[in-house]
Amino acid sequence: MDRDFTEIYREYRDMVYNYMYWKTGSSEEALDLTQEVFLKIYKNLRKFRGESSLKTWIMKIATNHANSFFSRSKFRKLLSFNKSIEYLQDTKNENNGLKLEVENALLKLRKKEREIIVLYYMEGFSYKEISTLLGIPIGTVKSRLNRAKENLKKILGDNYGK
Amino acid sequence: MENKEFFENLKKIRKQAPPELDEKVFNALNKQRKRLWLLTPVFATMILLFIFVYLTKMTQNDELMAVTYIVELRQPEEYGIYSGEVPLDLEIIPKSLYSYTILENGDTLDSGEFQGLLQDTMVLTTGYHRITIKLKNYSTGEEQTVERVFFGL
Repeated sequence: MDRDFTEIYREYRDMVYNYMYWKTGSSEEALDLTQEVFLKIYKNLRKFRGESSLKTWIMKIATNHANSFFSRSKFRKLLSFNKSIEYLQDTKNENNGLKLEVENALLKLRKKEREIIVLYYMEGFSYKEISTLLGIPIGTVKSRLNRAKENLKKILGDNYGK
Repeated sequence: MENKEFFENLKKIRKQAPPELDEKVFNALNKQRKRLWLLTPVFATMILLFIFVYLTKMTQNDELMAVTYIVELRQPEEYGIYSGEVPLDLEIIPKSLYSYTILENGDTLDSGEFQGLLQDTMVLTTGYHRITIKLKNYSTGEEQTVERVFFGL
């Protein structure tokens, strides 16, 4: 069981951390939330029945956990976003400029739009899986994704497509 | 760069979990395991054993504890002979909640419950009165019968 968990952790830690990072906009919050998600996974691993893929099951735990985090404190959400933007500005010289522009643009998107971009493009979930994860119809997934892409284009302006 | 390619390249800004996450997760897991240990069957058995030993000891103590039954008719007797309606007292030491049934020569007179001191009255007519008080201790379930003989005038 412990060995299984370690394997699962090693395989999915980046996925959960990346999701949490873009969801909260803060590496500190992402670290704490990812740790909490893996504790939940550890406790509930026996309950996994294989009704969905393990990847979807883990991400479902992560999305639920992130949602309850945001419902716990709206103040923390705002705080973490400010920190994140400061962080990006501080590290400007260390990163490739265009990459930073894209990261900033992503952070400027609405939370729901950013979430769908992360799930679809970064984590490779299908429309159907995202529909299950977020509890919304597939049609809404598609339209939200298109809207997110359009908004990202607008924010990036001339940098889009470079 | 085409749109599709641009969005596929978003993977490049995918965040990698920092190395401190490993330490954080496994430290938290170790704490969790310690807490879970408290809920293991071995621990549960130990707790049950402790409760069993504790209860056994308490029961044994109860058995060793002397129980005194004092039954008296609160009216000065003259050569052990009573007359008319007289108060009947039954005191049990140590105090506990009891149910009782009073019988006179085998016929039920009264019943109820009391704690420590039972106060009742009875009419003693001429002759022999065998007063039987059946008691049941609610906390231990123990049953006891106390019997006294009085003569009425």
